[in-house]
Amino acid sequence: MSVDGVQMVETNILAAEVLTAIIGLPEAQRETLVLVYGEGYSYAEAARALGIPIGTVMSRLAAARSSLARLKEGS
Amino acid sequence: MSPEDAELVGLIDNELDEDAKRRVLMRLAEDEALRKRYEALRDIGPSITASFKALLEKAPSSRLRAAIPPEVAPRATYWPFAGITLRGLAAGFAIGLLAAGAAAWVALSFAPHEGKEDWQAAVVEYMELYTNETFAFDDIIDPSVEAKKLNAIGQRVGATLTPEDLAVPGLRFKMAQMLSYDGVPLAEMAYVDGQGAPVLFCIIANGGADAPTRSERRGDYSLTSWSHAGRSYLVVGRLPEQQTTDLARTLEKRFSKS
Repeated sequence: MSVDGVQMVETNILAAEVLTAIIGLPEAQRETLVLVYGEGYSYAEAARALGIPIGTVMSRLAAARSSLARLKEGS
Repeated sequence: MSPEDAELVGLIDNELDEDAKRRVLMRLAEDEALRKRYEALRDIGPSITASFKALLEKAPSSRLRAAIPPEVAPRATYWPFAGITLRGLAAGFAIGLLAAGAAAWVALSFAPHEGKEDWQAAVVEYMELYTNETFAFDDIIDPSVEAKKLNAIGQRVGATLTPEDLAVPGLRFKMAQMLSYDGVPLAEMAYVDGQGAPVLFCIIANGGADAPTRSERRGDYSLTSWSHAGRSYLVVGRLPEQQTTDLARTLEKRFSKS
């Protein structure tokens, strides 16, 4: 299998774990993550939809990514 | 999470303005620890995307759409996966799906819609392809040919189909066609309302036990179904629920004879 192929398989395996981890995130982080990465909202759109400042969108996404990144570090 | 993580994520998502972007890039050039942090936050991105993609590819789209509360208006299509979108499923529902710990997912996957009622989900899904133009050119040219066609289709599902029995107030009959669900004959009669919006009346010879009319909303659609003499019936359309109920009662009276 090529390096790209191995990476794809790893990504897919991790995706299942990531989805489980997303479900376990605090609600505020989870809803922001869904809007931006699941639905393709821009930060500004997500901020409007959630009624929060863009900075809060950024910090929520950073916190969520940080939690999820630990999965990869541990795998 | 460090205070800089938000800016790193903003950079990854290409959401920083030029000044902020330049500032973060300069810091990254100087700080190896920050670069490693950036890489860790960046590298989880494909798995997040893949997880949402997998969620949607496995989604029973019609059932999920049908589960969207009517008050949650669908948004414009944005990010297509497997023909549907999270945005299409409506943000509120998508968030709710995850927020409920995928409980809704499990419930939708294994509850009563599976099995004998799954054909209704298939009809709704099929119907989503229809537009107000779908039957615009399907006017009946020769009533005698149409009557023969109805008779043949009726025989396949064990029902007597005549133009008279299929005529209903407020809708114009456009065509009938023979379909199949899981190998079981499924007759679909298509109508349009005054605006050309399709309304379907379906009969499937699935051997279902007798059941009284039952109405429900699935997303934009109202469905009224019942079963009689080994056949299940469904009236479905983007109509007020009361209208499909009334249509179903009219048709039920006629088809309970056969």
